[in-house]
Amino acid sequence: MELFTIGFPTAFSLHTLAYCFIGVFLGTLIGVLPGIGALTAISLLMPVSFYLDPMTALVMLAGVYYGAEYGGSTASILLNLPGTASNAITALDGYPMAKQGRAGIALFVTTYASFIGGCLGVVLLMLVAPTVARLAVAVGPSEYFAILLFGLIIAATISQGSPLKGLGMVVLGMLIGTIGIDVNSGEYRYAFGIVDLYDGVSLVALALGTFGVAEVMHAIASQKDRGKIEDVTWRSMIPNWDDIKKTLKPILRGTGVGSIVGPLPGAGPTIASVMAYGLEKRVSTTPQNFGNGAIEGISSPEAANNAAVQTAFIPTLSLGIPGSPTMAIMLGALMVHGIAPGPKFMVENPEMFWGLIASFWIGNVILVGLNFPMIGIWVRLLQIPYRLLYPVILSLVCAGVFTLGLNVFEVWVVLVFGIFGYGLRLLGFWPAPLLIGFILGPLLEENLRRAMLIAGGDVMVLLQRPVTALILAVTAIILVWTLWRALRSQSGDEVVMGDE
Amino acid sequence: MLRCCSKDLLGGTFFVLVGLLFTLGAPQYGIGSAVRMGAGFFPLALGLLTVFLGVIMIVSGLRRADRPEPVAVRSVIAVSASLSAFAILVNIAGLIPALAAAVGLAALGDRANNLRAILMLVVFCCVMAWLIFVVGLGSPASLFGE
Repeated sequence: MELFTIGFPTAFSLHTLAYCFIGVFLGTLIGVLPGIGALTAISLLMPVSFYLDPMTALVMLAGVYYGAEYGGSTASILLNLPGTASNAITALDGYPMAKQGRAGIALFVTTYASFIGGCLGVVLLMLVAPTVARLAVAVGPSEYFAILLFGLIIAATISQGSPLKGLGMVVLGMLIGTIGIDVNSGEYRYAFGIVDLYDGVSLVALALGTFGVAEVMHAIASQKDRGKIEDVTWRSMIPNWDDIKKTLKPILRGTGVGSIVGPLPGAGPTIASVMAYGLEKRVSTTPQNFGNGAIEGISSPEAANNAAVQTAFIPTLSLGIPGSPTMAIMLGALMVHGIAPGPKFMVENPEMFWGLIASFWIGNVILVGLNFPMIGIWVRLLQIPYRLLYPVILSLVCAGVFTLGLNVFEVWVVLVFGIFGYGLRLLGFWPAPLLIGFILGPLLEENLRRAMLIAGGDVMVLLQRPVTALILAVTAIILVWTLWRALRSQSGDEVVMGDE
Repeated sequence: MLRCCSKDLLGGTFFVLVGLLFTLGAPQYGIGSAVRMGAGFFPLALGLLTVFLGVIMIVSGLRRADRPEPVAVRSVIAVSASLSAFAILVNIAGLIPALAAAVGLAALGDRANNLRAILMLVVFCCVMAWLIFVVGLGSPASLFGE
């Protein structure tokens, strides 16, 4: 009920609606264009969001995130080139459909699959998040420490690439997070006398470097020129009843998979869509059709990635644990706005939570409107080759980072982390866990210190609190199992996928 | 250059070095005790953990022979030159000349970009950045030097 009493009145101001529209519009745009992901786009928009009030900023940034999931399938279907990594799997059946002259239907199906997946995800978010938050209000520093640790380990082990490397990146991120002033002692750690580092490494510079710039360095050489694309007419988008019937169950199954994977820290829409596709192929009575334009093969993953995006907000808003790397950036944006994420966020800011939820409903409806009538424009945008696109991205990075504080130092930080991120990528390390470690590391340290102070420095006292002990035990089991598997496995990179 | 050893061997070595750097730096900030942790306690623990993880990577990397991908030299140089040019020029010449240089250098990263494409990109990016950051957001950045 709070949705109608608090949510919609907050979201229905012209100001908020305008930024909701800007968010989902930009999200669709960067989703359509291959080579830029939601994470880079949100980092780029962070400087802009500092000019807004926190609520509006959150509405806009969230809009980019779920908007990108709608737009991303366009390039997958028409070009066999994923707009964002989470739509890569859609190309497996979407591109064959386009070759059979069914591109219009594929685009229609992915849009309504996205819409249903997204809406059911929001419903789940409305039901689960307040309950979790109510339970979580009672947690003390020791429980919060345990939850954070659990989140970090999960982020490391189920992100793309090998779990050992993921773990390494999480720890590295936490180390980078220790740079700058220590709030407890006033000590400047690892600043080496550089005044610009006293406040620590800025999140925007780190994210734009390791994701944006590193991605551009990688993509210039690897993105090939695009072929000619057929125009998609509105009439070709009308499916027959048989098509719709075939997609309903896959959409529901995909939503289920997305809703389970979404809230897990570190596992974002990419993993959700891949798992949903796998499940669909397994339960299908005609698995031989998959890869040859099976309509089930595009509806399930598209529902899954949208459900994952919306349910990723559950742990982010109710516990302060990011449900995906992009959520980590959003948490960072909240912190810059002076809002502490964590179990108390929803209790202290009900109007923000319900306003955000209301904006999700509005945004999802706008997205359907954006995707159907404007399909011709998106198709034309796809013809822009990457060689003309990436200089624009870099100019936005430069101007955005610089105008944030008129500080050239930040530009150098972006460059250093860009080279560093590119190098690590060549070695099979993915930057997502690094970012989560960087954001959660300082929170982990803070709560560990508080918990140990209360416990008198005795680790055994921590373990006597049942909830803490339980979470820590589960975390330890996952950790040991991961290291054990990493040492035994012969190939380090089981799954290699792109970014969020 | 990077192709001498397996990915994990190189990555592991990198982690050991970074871990050592943070571990050795930690004591000067005060380790403290478990009850009252000093500023160096947490970085020390993380640093040691990093070294440990690096060693495991090296051990598992010795058994493998997967070489890293080759470095895309042209892309890396073009992007680095682009950001460096912006950082050097922006305070001397102002936002617009710095952006023009950055976009021009970046565009050289792809051989297919001819002079006409580069000029178009420069104009487009400068106008866009001016509209977004100066007109739209009211950034006080100076457009053409002092």
